[in-house]
Amino acid sequence: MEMDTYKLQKGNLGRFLQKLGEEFAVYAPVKSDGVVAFVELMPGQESALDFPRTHKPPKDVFYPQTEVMFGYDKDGMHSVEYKGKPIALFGTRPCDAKSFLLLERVFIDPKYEDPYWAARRNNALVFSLACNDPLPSCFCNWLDGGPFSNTGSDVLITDIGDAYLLEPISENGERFLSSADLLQISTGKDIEKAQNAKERAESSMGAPPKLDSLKASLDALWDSPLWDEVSSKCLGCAACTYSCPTCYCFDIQDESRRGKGVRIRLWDTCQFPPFTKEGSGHNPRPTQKHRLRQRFMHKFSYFVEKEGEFGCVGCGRCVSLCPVNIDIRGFINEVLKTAQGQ
Amino acid sequence: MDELVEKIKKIFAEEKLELLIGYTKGTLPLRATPIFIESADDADKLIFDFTCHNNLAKYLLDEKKRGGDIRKVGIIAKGCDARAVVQLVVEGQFEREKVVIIGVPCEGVIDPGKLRKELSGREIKNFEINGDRTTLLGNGFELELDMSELFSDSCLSCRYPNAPQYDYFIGEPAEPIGVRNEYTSVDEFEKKSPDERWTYFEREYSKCIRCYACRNACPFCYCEECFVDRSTPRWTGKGNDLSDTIIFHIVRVLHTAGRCVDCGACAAACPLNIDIRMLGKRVEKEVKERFGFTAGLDFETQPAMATFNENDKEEFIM
Amino acid sequence: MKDFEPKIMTFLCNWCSYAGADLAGVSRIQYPPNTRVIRVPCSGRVNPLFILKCLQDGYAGVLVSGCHPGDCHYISGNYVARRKFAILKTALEFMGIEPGRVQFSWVSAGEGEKFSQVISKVTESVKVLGPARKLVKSTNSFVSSGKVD
Repeated sequence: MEMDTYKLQKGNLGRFLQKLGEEFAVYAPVKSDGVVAFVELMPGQESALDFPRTHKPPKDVFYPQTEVMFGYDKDGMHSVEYKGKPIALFGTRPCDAKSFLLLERVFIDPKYEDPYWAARRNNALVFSLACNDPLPSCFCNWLDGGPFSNTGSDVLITDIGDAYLLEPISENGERFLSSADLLQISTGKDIEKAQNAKERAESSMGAPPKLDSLKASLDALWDSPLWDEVSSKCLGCAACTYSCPTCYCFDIQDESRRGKGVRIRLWDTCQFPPFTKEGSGHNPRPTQKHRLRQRFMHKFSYFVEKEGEFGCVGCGRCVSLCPVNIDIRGFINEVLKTAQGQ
Repeated sequence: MDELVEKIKKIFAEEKLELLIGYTKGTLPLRATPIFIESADDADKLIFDFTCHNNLAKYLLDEKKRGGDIRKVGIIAKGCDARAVVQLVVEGQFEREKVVIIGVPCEGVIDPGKLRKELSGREIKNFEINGDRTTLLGNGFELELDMSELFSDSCLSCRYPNAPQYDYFIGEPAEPIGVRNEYTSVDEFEKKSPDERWTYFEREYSKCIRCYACRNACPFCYCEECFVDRSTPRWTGKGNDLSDTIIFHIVRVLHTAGRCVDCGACAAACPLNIDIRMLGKRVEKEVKERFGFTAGLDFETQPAMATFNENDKEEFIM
Repeated sequence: MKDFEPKIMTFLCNWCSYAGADLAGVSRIQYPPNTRVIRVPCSGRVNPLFILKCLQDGYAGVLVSGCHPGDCHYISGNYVARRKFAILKTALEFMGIEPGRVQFSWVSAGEGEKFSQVISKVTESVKVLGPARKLVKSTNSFVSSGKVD
């Protein structure tokens, strides 16, 4: 069934979000002190939709950095579940929307469903905003993505200047849009404008390298000095992992005081030494080389083995935020070149 | 740049260097990246300019961790970086004979976080420099700025642009860029009320995601096990709870008290642009005024927090 | 605050201040009961993290007391401590933590009266400041670690 594309005049955005907020808890990018992050939009708060790529990915909307799993005291366990309204994520970018599907491979396994993720993720609506101006550090098109990709979105929004086009991608998206106020049906001209924006954005990104042989190349380069070279300047911080939309490792810790406590899940990172430290004191990943290799191998080899696709969406945050300018794109090219030379 | 490359080649031979830590061009505009060179043939890759913000002294400790014999290491050092090297030698972390300090004149370096902030999340494809001003060029936009708006806050109040101790110095010593007096920002801030100051710190630290980029970029955070990684006892929680996060930042300042050379590497490394330096700068001022010590100026003076004076002021003791 | 009875954590060095506190006790000198005492071998043993953890736990005030300079049982522990405490106080006050919350004193083994005076002064000043709010950890409603009960 051919679904209509809807149009929202920019002047109506505030009211649209307000209406959205009646049914959903709306999370949108908000600027605070120079940092833009996805937070729950409070009444009257303006969202910074023109911000190209948030520092922190929206994964913390479904998967908070610090999350209480349950509390306990002498009366037993008290579970703490998300009981808020279903979440509407508004203004996420196509790379981030795709990341939720990758994260789902981990959190929603046929045998085990992560209840904390599921409570927030189920019934959520993802409104992605297409990227009219991909950043120089973006490389989503290397990984089967693109500035106008709709993978993982319920609705794809395109900014056509004076208005937003809202294209329903999923059934849930269509169901919401077809009954929403403030929307018009877009005209042929509107759709043409969106198509032009798409072509402009995609061509601005340049041709991506072919990554078909990347996994095999990486697997063959386990002992290569390439790893020593790239990791020599690595600080071993978590700037890359915590800003990565597809990183999901966590730690679970208990905090107790006088017979009461909570069990907390917290983000963790394979880049910190204690991540793999064993009780005996032995650490199978003793140096930064081991840890950096782990990260790149996980994204481009191990995840492929387990899930059939790369565990990276090419958002470019790690490239832009790495304090020592370790550029995973350069490394990928280096690997492909080296493997060809072998 | 040619002078730099030529001199480095000579130093490699003269000093029989086994490793040189320097900078090379980065993959993003206005960025440099550290480089490790083991032969004079690779010296052509070296650069030094206002994009070289990383503190390379930190990598001396990685050299130590490598195990085996410590190689003779040359290090390209701005004023602050050289002070860090000196302080590390004083702290017994690296042998004086094993490091060759190659001073370079620094007139300020760009803080990538400030650049990101000025660009409001956009990225540039190119830039032009016209004296003290720069024009940043991106897709469909142009932004003209004073270079000092992009320089690290450390640079704006820098008093030691040139290595106070060195084995070689390449180029003419630089004058401090002297935009601000050393402790102006701290003095201005202290005029606010305690509640205002607390609100500022809460606001800044609430952005913190505990990535420890600040800690890891710092040459003085070299403990084998940092207090935040201790689980017995657990000094502070691992997540981004605000109280735990503030504890981390306060204690890191206490641990680097009297050692910090205000290189600004912490603030530059922070992916969220947090004002990491404000608290530490105030403590640096206290160490200077109360104990008369400034880190990294010579190889003899013992660090302030590792010694004491019987006549230390104790007006704060009841 | 009238009805506020603060909890105050006190670190006393074994050789001087703890003995001084003991002397206050056997001399039946009255002083406010708000403090909990932790005995440490030397004031230099006190890690600033101890003080910060107390504030995080909701203690309204922290006092560290050691031997007078020159009298340290371990010769120089209190000299080292003095430098640490100066820096800690600077950092905390600069951040906006109320100056009366974290205090330091020298109390010798024979100064029972002084000890009681120090405790009274600290208790009074903390009472005026009210319950600690700034560094208190409040993860969620299940953990009452924010309130010391």
